[in-house]
Amino acid sequence: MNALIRKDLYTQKVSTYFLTALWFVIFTNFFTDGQPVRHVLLLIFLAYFIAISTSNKSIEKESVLINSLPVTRKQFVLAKYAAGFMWFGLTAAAVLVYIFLFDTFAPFPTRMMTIPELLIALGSFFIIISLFYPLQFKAGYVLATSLTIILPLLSMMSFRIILNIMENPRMVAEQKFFRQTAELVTVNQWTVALAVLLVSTLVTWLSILVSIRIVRKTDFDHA
Amino acid sequence: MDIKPIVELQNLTKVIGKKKIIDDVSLSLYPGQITGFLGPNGAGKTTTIRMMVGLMKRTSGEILIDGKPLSENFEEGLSKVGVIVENPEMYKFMSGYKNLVHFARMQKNITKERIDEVVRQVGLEQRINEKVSTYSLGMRQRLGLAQALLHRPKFLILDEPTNGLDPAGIREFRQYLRVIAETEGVSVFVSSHMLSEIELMCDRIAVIQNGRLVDIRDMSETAQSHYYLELSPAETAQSLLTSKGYAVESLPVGLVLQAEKNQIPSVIQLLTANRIEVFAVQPHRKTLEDQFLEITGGGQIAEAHTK
Repeated sequence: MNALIRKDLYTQKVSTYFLTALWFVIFTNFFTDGQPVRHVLLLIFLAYFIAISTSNKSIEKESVLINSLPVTRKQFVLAKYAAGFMWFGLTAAAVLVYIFLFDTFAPFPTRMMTIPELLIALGSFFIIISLFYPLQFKAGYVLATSLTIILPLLSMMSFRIILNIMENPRMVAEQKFFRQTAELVTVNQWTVALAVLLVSTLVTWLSILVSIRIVRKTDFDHA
Repeated sequence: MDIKPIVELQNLTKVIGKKKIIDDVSLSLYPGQITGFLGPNGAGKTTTIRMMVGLMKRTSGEILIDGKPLSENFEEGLSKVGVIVENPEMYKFMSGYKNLVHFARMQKNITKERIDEVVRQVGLEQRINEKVSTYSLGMRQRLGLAQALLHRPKFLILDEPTNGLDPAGIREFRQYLRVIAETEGVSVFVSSHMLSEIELMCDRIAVIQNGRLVDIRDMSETAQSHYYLELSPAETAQSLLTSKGYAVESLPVGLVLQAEKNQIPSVIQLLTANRIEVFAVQPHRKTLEDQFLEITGGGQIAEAHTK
């Protein structure tokens, strides 16, 4: 399984990392915003983007690899999920360096990510790839990507809507609600992080079972 | 055969929907032997191969590799198998050498020296550091073969390996397979619908038709047991030999007699005693095409040639 994880790392195209860098622009509003929530979203979707980029060879095409290696279908699936930790770790390192530079040199207030924020990002990332992999194994890369790419777009839209509401003087009640929610989340960061991790663990476990079932039933008959 | 088979297919069956794609196929494959797996397109060659390497599930039956069921020893079993299914899928943006290093990394005990050795064996030394995207189909086939051989498999499966190769490439490939079968004792299983290619390459053929294995035979068998007789009058000779229980086939000039070598003197005596003039007797090797026509009834030979 270790070999399969390393395979994903070593066969990643360099261009993928350049494309991934584009998310920095989008999620930091063209490098003008250092809000912590943006950093959490950046980390989640950066890791997601790299993870799915390694899967852009469909499982059918990867059958050559399955042919050449004495690996079981279960190991193949588990390696995909386990590689998630690798992608998240690499992305977290890049994002933390970026935030450090932002924090040090940018002319607006920001701060480094807290551990609960990192855990929330980790849990959320695994929830997304838990949706992606079963879809990919069952219906192919294009459909899985198309359906899950909606998530970063929706989150960005939601975030923008909330910002608009906060700037709208006629929406006092809504502003109060969001402020209270933000305070609640800030005060209970660890509780929220653990809740996200708990949900993520459950979803990932179910997703792995479903993926193994799908892949075990798959006949690679037209690689 | 006393030698223990490296691979045994036992009553292998694959049903998709209500259709039996592979029907009760049993076959043993031996070390050092090149076995051709012959059949028209759609006969079930690739499906059988894909079941042999676990890419497709079998409906029933068993595959033994080195005496152990693949279903119970999947990892151990496949560690003894090298395979190329149709055109090898490599990472085109990487060099041939990096591809091999990548595949070597994923298997146990493959040294840099072993990589260099297989590169030499397949004759890719000059181009191995170039990107795979610049390779011709023949070079990709050779790189695929190198990758399949990295871990010194006991059993090598090649599905339509010469697809897209030019005649020189096919010849080179054939010679290379012969070398690894003879020097390393590798059992090679080659599927193809190219009769001439199989004829030149293999020691033995297994013929599949409509999912059923219809014949298994050594390539040397027919060469030794058929003789061409040039004689006159041919019709009389044919009647005479048939009445004595020989299998005789009429050709435009002469007859083809199925008999053992030690029967030939008595056949000649029989013919001359009956005033039939015998001008020549020589071993007659039936072409694989002739044999294939016999085995399959000829119904699908045209398809095998045209596709």
